[in-house]
Amino acid sequence: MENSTSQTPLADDGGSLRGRFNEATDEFVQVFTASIDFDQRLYREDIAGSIAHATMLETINVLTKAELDQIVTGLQNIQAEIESGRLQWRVDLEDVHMNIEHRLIELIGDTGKKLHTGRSRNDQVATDIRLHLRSSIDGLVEQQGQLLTALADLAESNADTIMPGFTHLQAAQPITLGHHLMAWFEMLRRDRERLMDCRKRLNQLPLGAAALAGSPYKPDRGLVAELLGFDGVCDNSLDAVSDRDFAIEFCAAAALSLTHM
Amino acid sequence: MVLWSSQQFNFIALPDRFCTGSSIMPQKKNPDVPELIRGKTGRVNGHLIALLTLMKSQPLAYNKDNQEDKEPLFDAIDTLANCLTALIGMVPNIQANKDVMLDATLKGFTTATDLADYLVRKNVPFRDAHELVGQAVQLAVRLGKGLEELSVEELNGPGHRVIESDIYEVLTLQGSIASRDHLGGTAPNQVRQAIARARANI
Repeated sequence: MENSTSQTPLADDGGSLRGRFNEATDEFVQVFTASIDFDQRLYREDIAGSIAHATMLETINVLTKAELDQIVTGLQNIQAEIESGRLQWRVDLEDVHMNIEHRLIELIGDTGKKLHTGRSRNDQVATDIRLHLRSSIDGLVEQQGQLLTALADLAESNADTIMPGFTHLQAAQPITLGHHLMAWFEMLRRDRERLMDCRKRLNQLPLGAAALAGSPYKPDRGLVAELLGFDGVCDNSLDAVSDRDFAIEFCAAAALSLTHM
Repeated sequence: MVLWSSQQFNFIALPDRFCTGSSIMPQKKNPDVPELIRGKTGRVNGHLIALLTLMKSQPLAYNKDNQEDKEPLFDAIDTLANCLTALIGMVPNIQANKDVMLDATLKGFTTATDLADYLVRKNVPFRDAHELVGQAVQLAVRLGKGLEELSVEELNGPGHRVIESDIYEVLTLQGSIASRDHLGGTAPNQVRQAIARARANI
């Protein structure tokens, strides 16, 4: 096992991704292409995904048990640093993935450089977004349940409250306020079902697709899926890194829900 | 909610803590929260269009374009969560102005369809019944009365004697509502059953 304090120095610019270039990134380009301002909210999912990936790498003998332990401890420490506001996000490190990986290498040395084996930011970010949207949907579905209960309660206490029903905003026929409120209930119930339906389709694991073609390490994608609570793995590595259908489906469901609200 | 809480409708009162005042008009109680929820629909619709456009014609596989997926998605999540939070706070505290709603129902000839349905039960074809009731409504408008305030003779008009004194029960609001007594109808016992089914599905 390598000594965790020994490490090859990282380039100052953009982590260690500029080996093939002869000049540093233009300053404007650095800011223009960086996503750290908004993708830092994926840090929890990024760390959970990395821990699952590293756990799998140990089972296929890419990492030793000791290296895995170092990586997991390092990532947990970084999560604590982020949550206590101690980690300084760096624009020159582009995004949440490189910021966390860079910090890991600072903390545990060369072992940290092995974490990205058999992985690309392409399948990494696709995994992060799916995890993030999944937990967001779970929270939203819970909120929708509370709102539906509130509507049902209000409808129940107004099951006999008479009001005019309207067509063309002209008084049409007598109805009860309870009946009217239950019409809103139906709309919001369908909105909730749409989010649950979106969750079903997004809950497939992209990780293992690597950049686009898969990786030569024969990753145990099923294990990673299980560790991260996915129902299965994305069947095609190109589609795995390219698919954003779930984000569109979610926005469509959200837009319709807002239309109802 | 915005419409119903207006002075013109006055069907409901929103909790004060979800409303704001005006910078100039001291009497104002503005329904800012429901208005903002209405307005936020625009930005989420925009996010949907942004994502659809983003993904169109991208060659396989990953392209840097995809980095643009996050801000619309995150904002859609946050906007929906915030709007739900607002409604969860407001809905249980909505006060229904039952007298105003009842009054509005009495004024709108809302039982005219019930009168037509009564005639159908007396073997008048529905299209003829529609015409007869239209004439009765015209008379009521001219006299400034509700349908239930017309006499049996006035309701029948010159042409027939089908309508009898049992019509006044049909023309009550309670009678009208209670008659819609089937799955999905507005009769109070149906609404209660619908609520029970709905609760089981939450």
